[in-house]
Amino acid sequence: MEINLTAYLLFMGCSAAACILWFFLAARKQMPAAKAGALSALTLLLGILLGIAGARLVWFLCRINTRPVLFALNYYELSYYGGVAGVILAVWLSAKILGLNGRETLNTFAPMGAFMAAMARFAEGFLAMIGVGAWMEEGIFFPVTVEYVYDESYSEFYLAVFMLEGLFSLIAMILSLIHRNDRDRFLRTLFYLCLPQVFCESLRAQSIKWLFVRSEQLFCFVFCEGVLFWYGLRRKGQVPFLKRWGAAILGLLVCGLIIAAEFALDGKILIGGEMIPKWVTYGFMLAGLGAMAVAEHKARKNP
Amino acid sequence: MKKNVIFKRLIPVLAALIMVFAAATACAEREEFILGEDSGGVFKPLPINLDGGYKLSKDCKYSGNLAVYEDPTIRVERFRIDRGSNRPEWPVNCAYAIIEIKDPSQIRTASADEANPFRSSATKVARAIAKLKNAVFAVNGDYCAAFSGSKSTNYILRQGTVYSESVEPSLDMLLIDEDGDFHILTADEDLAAIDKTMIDGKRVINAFQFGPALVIDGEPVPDEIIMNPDRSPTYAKPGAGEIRLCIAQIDKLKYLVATCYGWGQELNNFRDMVMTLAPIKTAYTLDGGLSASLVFMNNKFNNVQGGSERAITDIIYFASAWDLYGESK
Repeated sequence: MEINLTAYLLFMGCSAAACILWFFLAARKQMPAAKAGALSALTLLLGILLGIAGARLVWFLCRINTRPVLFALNYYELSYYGGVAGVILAVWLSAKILGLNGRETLNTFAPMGAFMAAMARFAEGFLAMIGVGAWMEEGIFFPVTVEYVYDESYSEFYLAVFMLEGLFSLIAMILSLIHRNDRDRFLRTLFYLCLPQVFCESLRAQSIKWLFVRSEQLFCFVFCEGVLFWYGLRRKGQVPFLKRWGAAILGLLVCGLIIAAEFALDGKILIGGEMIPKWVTYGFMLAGLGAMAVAEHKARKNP
Repeated sequence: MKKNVIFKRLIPVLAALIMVFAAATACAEREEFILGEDSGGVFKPLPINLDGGYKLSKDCKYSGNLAVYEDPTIRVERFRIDRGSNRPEWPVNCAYAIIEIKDPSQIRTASADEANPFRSSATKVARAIAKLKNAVFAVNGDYCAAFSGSKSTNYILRQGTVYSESVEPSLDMLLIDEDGDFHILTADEDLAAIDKTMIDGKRVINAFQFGPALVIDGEPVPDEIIMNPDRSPTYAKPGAGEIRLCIAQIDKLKYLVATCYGWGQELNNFRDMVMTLAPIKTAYTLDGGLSASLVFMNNKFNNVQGGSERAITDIIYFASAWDLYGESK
């Protein structure tokens, strides 16, 4: 099992270039080419800087109880969603510097952001254990499992969670393209990036943890719940309580379900002294998250 | 009427079958695999690094009855005590193994993450790590990279390399020196100030922070120490009936690893039980609960709740130093 940092950086560099080129082409439809070029270039520059800074800062804050060093850069000491937050901040800052509307710029950037998020997940394939899930007795096939060959007589198979995460990000990108005229395009894209991560994070063999809690799973859930709460908050007029807050309440119920599922997966909740089969637990988790997606869609349809 | 007759005949037949099956299971022969000096291998001490042990003979196949593995450099014998059977005084199931090695380099540690060992929080099941390292016998370590609760700053020294210098001052420390001898540094000492890379003039190869120590110099550690929750990692709850696990030194290059399973035990009762298994010189608690994994020939043999296997960050393992296939290390 080897880490190929050169291939990782090359892949990320090419993906960032493709993402920025696409952003430039999309921005050019809304503004002069020179301004679109400046916006893209600034976003690339700030995106790299703030993306790395955000990834490191969030990792540092999540691990503050272990008294880590802030100013160091190891590939295994970064937070993915810290990086996402850094890139979002970079797009917003770039827009503000050039006197553009931050929200509209973020809406334009949404599908490219989801594309970059997918590529960043696929790139984890170069980082050995970083993006994989459980060790498996036998391999299935790529992209379901990945094989790490040690020598001619021994290899190991792992669930390729990073591929699943990348796939979900591509779905978020497609949804973002479909919601092209939605004023909440960026918010909804981020929602659909974060929602499946609650499930995927649970599958990962390696997570940033605070006590038993997987930090990024928590961040993603809190964001999604925040969006549902925001939908309720901004509904005006005489709206029945359940219609206004139904989605947010459902989110809270799913939160309880996810907590119970995590305890069950860790063997803390048993039925008749036996572990609940994992596929049952994950089935409930997926059903809960699916319900949240439906609730978001319905809540959004009736603003 | 006819139904009654059928039942009357069927029940004794079934009962007899069950008894025969139970007797057959109880009398199942303990198998041994013993490889002699004439097997064509060469004794080679293992290097102090992250390499695994030498590959075992292809003739050695695991079975549920295999109780002993022996080659000229290592002997592992495993045991089970079922609740209320041969040791009625302990109301728990217990699985344990006694391991004898020829060279101290054969007691080793390994991480779940080969690419970023002992620094990453990546996990996998103990038997997967054991398989990669050609372990004859393996046990879960101290979950060194869990970074949670009162173990978030534990000291990590593995295979001669320090991976984390921070120290959790409330937890006893187990040091294994270059001669394979166990030393306990208790939390009463200033653990941060003590040199943990050398002890009694010998190099420390592996160090663990979980604890507490159960036996030191053959003497049981008093209840008031081991039952103090501050001396155990968060969640280990010494006063609760939990699945416990410990590693112990019996003699020079002779060790014991034991766990209770199925039913939990308080830490003091577990200590007392372990002390009846062998003349213990030093015993130290490692991670228990669902993490407790005793792996013999790549098979986990302690059955913890529902047969589940929790993925863990690290193992301690015993490897063969008998090179049968001309490997280079």
